[in-house]
Amino acid sequence: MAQIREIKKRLTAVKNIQRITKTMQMIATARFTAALQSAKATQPYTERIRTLVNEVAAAAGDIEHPLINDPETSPNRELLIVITSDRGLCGAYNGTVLRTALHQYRNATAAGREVELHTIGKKAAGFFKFQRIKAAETHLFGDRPDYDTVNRFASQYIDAFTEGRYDAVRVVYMQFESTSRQRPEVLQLLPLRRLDEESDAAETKPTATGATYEFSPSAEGLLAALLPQTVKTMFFQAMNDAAVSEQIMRMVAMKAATENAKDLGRSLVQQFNRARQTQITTELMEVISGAAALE
Amino acid sequence: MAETFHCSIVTPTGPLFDGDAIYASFPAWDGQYGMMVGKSPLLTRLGTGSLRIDTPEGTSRWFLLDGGFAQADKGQLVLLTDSAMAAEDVSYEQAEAELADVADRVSKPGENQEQVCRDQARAYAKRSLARSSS
Repeated sequence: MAQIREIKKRLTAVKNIQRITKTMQMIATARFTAALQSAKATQPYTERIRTLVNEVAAAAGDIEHPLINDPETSPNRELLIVITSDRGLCGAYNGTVLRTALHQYRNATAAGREVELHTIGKKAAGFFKFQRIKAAETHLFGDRPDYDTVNRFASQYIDAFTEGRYDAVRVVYMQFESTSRQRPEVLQLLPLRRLDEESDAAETKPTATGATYEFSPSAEGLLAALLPQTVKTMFFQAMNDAAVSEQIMRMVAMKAATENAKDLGRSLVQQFNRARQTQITTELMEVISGAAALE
Repeated sequence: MAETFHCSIVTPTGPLFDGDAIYASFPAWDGQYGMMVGKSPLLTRLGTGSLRIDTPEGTSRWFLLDGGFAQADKGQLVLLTDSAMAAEDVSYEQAEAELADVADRVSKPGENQEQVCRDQARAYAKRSLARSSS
């Protein structure tokens, strides 16, 4: 009897968990759709800015700009921004990003560089506190990164870089490639990779249309305005990618949890039936034995 | 019928306008520019002000633009901006309130005057757009 009660208790608990994980999966699906829409909405802007930079850079020739060149006097100090989620239950999402960030941090410090750490999301803040690594700044952006806020932060990073406080600004985040593929990425935000390197690395066709543009102001002036915009767009894209990846990984994790709960429930029902049958058989045997003894 | 070109307003949060136009007048950093079919390729920085798009249907649509870049090429005009707003969403009262707020900040010590000037230009453009569209 005690065993049956125990199994029944577990069965109720498993069913409750299954209900919770199923709900979380549905919420994550809804949030994923919204996050994906906002990430997709950003893409045309990002692509256009990149095309413009290439067009203008092709016309400007050799470019010298504080956001492209390494600082004249290197402070031997870099800024590492780690983007994670505020909540858990999203599979390997936070773990993968944090492992990559820790690896990056340890490599830089082992090479004798000073690393200033900024965390975005509660999970990163908690992780580095546990690792006894002090984060200079901790921020929370919520589920949907807002462009104005991201823009303000990117401007601060640009200012700090041009003032020479850091010689590099890197972002560790989960890059969204497709619904079935996300991977941790260390993005070098500043200094911007030289444009010729970028086009070689990406093996893209030259984007210059060959048209002779009338530039207003000059190509150099336009580029000076375009480059900070590129940095802001890159950072916003990284935030959006992180938001989409978090929701998709939570969706997958919750789906797996629901399936597991279903399997566990099925096996518990079997155990319960077996135990009940055993109990009935035992009781019958007892009645029959009792009756036989009376004869 | 007048010849048309493709016009789009692209912002980081998505496209605000994407359609054909017969004429567009947009605020560049050094004044108002106009575009019709056949305009030579142009790349310019945008300023703060109103954008007017005349559609082939004979209507005009108005928007508020605040900085960005314009690219005119191959029979299309692309306006890339951080912040754009359709005239229908601009309120006169709100513009007035913004102007009053900026006027207070002008004389405040420690204010970033460059930012104040930008906010003032934006509030003026907003008010003028609200006035003309009402």
